[in-house]
Amino acid sequence: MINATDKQLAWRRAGVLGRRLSSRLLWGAVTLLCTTGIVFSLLNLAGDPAQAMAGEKADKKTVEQVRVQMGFDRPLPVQLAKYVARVARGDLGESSFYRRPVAELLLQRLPFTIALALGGLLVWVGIGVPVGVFTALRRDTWIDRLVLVLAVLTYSVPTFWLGRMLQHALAYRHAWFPVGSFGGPANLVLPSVCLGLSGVGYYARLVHTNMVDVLPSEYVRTARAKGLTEWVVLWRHAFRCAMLPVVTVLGLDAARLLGGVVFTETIFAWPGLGSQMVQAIPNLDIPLVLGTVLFAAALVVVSNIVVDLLYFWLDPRLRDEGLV
Amino acid sequence: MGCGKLWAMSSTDTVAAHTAPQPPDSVWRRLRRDPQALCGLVLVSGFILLAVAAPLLTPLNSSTQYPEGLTATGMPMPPGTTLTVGGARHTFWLGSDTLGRDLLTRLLFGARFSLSIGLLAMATAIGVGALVGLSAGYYRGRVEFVLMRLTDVMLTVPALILAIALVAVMPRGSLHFHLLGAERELPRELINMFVVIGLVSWTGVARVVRSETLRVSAMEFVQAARALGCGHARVLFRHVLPNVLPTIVVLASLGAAGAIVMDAGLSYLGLGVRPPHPTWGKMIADGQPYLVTAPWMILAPGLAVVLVVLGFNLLGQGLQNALDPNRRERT
Repeated sequence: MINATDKQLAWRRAGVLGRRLSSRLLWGAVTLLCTTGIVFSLLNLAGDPAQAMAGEKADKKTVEQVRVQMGFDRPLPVQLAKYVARVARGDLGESSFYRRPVAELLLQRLPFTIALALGGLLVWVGIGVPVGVFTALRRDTWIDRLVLVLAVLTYSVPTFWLGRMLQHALAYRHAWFPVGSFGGPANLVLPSVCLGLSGVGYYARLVHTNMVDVLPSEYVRTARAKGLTEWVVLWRHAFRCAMLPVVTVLGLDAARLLGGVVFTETIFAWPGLGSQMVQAIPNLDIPLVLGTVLFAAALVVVSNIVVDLLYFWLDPRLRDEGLV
Repeated sequence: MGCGKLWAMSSTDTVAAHTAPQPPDSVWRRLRRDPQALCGLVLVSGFILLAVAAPLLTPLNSSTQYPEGLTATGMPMPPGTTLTVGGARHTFWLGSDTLGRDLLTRLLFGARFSLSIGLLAMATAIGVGALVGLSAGYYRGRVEFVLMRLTDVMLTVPALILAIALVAVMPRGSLHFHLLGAERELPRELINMFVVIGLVSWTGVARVVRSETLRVSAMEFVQAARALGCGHARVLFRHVLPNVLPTIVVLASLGAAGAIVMDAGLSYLGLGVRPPHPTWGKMIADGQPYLVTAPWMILAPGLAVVLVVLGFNLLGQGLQNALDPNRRERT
């Protein structure tokens, strides 16, 4: 394709991207249906949903009533097929506590959780990446070792304990931030820091390791030999390559981020998906709990697709695959 | 089969030459010289000792509410208060909680729950994950496709969220059984917790073990063992597994840290072993309304979780460096 014009090349690139995107979307949908089946089966194998919905102290008659009412008396494969078919149509059932569709309840809370997750991500990457690059350049000095120990410490502190301490110190003792709930952008700061700190150490180490791998490589030496400034060599050449594995992990870690959201939201009374799920447990609202699990899985699948596209944009080798 | 002798010969010739599993003493020497790993080892073994020796270390009961443990106005006692409890002098080294219970006693007995759930959950996750990873990496083909797609599907569900859902529907209560001539009681939630945490966290293990197995299976000594007529099971467990084991040991230490955090989290949400049994997570949850008046109630169990998890993480990292010196040089 030596003679292809820029326009033709752009079209071909769009074609490659489109094929990749559509195959990822299809695969994502299949994955989600499998997830639905597995989660539904696990939930039924782990316990008795009818008992869980009726409450621990409910008498036999009530439990049986709930069982028939919710269709839990049917054979498991029938229930499973029905449930998967319903989920495939986008119907997650009705919350037994709020008497409203689960999907509606989830979508209402979604923007808050996404805002918090992005805030946490910003802290992860915003602190983790510069620290990782800095320590890679100051390798094996005392500051590098200190940061390593601090990094291990950050992922050893449970989010819920850290959150309480932050809240106490920065919102209660010194009223620098709102204590909790939602009222404006300032309310997002503490929860984001709390959620983000758990991942900072891990990302700093990851960036560090990758930078240390990349810095002695030949093309970095070539870039230096061309007379580029150290700044350009570092950020335009070495850093971009070092970020590829980090972006991959970022996609896998969307699940971890959503897990952390549960505690952060509960502590800071943030009106997101996580705090809603925690409230659903004492309410014995099993449809809402199950719906949240599946919805979280869907969010992870979507974020994986986004990361995949990001990767596509970052790595020119992938983008031009099959073009030349 | 007559394959044992041949295996012994082939292993001394080729295993040492190709993958060079570290002689245990050199691993131990490297571990000992690493201050971080040593720190982790001390923390982990210290907490295990405290948990095992709990009844010897404290004369009080973990769930008894001592009226002496509260001030005249019903407030918890600060750390270090010495009082007469049941006719004997007793020091509340970590203070008491709002029900007059001794915090140190609760912390020590809570360590038994946290550590046993953490270690059993880790063992479950390692067992499932290693089996899936080894089979997928060794047998390849259809087995690998099915197992790894299953892993991918499980990876899409956030582990903590799935764990919350599963624990919420599981039956709770007490299990009674006879052991050593006495009727004993075990909270059913203990079993629920480790099974659930194990079942939601094997995926990472499976992925790493698979890629290690792929690497090891491609080596010459594995093919040699096959050529010598060893069966698949024998090759897998006698030749491949020993070479994947260092990776599994590292994953186990890091996995125990993750499992303890998850157990503390679920207990914090009130889904763990139920009161009056002491668990660190529930102690944190109980203490948080009194952060201003009785900060020791939340500080002590919180620090216990941080230290034990830090210990397992440091130990895991130290083991990684000690077992794989090449990696150490890079990082």
